[in-house]
Amino acid sequence: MMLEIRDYDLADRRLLEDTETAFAHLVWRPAQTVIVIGKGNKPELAVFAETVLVDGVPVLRRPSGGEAVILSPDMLCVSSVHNSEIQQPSRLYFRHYNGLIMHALQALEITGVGHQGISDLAVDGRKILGSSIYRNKNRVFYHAVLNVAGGNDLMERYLCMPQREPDYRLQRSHAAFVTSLRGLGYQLDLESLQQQISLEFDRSGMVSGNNGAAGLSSASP
Amino acid sequence: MRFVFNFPDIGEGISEGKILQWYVQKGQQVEAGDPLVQMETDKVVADIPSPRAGVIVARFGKEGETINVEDPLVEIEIEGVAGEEARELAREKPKPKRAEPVEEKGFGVVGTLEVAGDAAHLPASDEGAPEPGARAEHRRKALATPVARAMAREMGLDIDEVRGTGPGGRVTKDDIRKHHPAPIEAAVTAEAPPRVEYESLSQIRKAIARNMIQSKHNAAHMTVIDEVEISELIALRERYKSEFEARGVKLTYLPFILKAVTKALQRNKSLNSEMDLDNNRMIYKKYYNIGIAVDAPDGLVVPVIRDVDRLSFMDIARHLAELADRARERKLSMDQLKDGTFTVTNYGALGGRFGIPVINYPQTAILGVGRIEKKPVVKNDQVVIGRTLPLSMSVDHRIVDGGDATRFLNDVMRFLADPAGMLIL
Repeated sequence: MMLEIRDYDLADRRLLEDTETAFAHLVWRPAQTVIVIGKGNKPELAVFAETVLVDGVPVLRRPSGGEAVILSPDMLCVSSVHNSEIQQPSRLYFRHYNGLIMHALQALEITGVGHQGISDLAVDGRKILGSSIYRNKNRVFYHAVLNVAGGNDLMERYLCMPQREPDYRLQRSHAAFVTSLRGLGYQLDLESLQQQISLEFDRSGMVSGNNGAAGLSSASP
Repeated sequence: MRFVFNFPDIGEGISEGKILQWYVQKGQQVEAGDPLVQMETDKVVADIPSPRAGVIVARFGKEGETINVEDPLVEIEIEGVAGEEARELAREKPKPKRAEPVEEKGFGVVGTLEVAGDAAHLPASDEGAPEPGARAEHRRKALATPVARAMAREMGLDIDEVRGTGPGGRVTKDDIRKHHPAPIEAAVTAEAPPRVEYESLSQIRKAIARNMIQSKHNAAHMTVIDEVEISELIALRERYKSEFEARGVKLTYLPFILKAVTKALQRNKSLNSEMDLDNNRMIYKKYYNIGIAVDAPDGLVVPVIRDVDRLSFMDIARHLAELADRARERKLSMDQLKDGTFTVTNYGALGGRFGIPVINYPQTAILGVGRIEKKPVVKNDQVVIGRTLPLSMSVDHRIVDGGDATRFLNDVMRFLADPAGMLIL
């Protein structure tokens, strides 16, 4: 039986399809566990297909780059899109958006969070957030997944070792490389965290005067 | 005029990208800003827009292929300048000395980055440069690989003066090497040997680099050093050396060292362990696979002898000889390189005495063995000529305290000083 790869249809799809709004963001919580592979990923190299089939976990292909990830209700996703005739290098977008999330975490007294690799946030060399981007000539779509309380068992069960890895991964297994805020000892209320991240995006200079971002925040797809 | 448009750095700091999907065909008319191709870099998927209007005359690369930043993506016949006319112009003035830098104006990702220049975070991009020779009267900004640029800087060359023979007129390393400076400069520099030499990193060197950094990054290194007097071991080896030779095996000191290490590991389990932070536990291994650091032609490799506790000295000596041969011949298999639980590095064979070895992570310890020396030692209150073996052991201080390390090393030394103990205890 072949592994079916579904089109990306999660909550932030509407941001991608809305080409009119100048800026919008969405902080959302996945309703169920899904595997999302990158636009250029080969499923057979990204996931353990037999296990995924047996467990019946949906696999979707997102429009942006990067390696396969697992989304679960124990995680928060942060998505953003903006139109701009003048675009910046991708690393600045990663820095900016991930920085907003980092500030939100700091506001909740979560310490030691820093930028790592091209597009990650990590604590003591262990990843808590990954992000990716799709961009065309005048639109940048960013999305990230923050591991709030997810265990590493799902990653070990479903995801192969990535084809590409950031320097700081050092060939570590998923279990050794990834952690969650809960794994770091933080017992967080997901809704508070969701609100704090939305607040940071609302406040960001990039949204001044042209967003309706707060209205887009939602709890689940 | 024909115009070669190169894959630009889209600002992620990466050097390559994969072609996911072509949006244009050969012969297709495009407008400035039309998407040409969808590219994927490490974390970004980007639709690359055309910087100019014109007709696509060539696409470089197939879907699924990975190309380097600055490699040609498409060749465009620019409207208003006929292709034959532009080529004729190029034939008339085949070696342009000066050309204007090509300026691209604001079309999304590509054009904007070009215009933004150094002030906007990007290294000067050579995207959109005309084909060599097409604009002969203007100063040309050279297309070049990063390595070629570095070489040119090092050699004091103006890279814009070097004729490029790579794709799209790119200046390559070979072009830099072949480029002859002006005669006066040549006279000055002719006798000066090159000050640097470039060599690509081998896979094994990259792996060594990764592993060393991983170890230093994750383990808390602590090193203890000591010396042991091994006259009895030397005598034992002398006694049995010929018997081993008769069976086609060379008896070195290493089998004794591996056996002593294994015996000591059996008494000090924390040295044969691994910290599993993710599950908040220690893993104590009840098998004894000892890695031997080998100075192979391509660089350091660490083949592993398995279950040393179950092997005779003869078996160990045979394994050592086989692994050393395979390492030199580059024939080690993955199975022979994995699952080590402790490592021994014998830099004494190269004349070294002490060292601070780097732990073969995630193992807990590595023992460095120096060269045997004659030294004055005190035996039975008499100063006599002893034969001492220097030992240096690095441990992961997260796992092993100073006392544990010292007790282990004392056990190793005890077995080496009194090799009969290895058979009895």
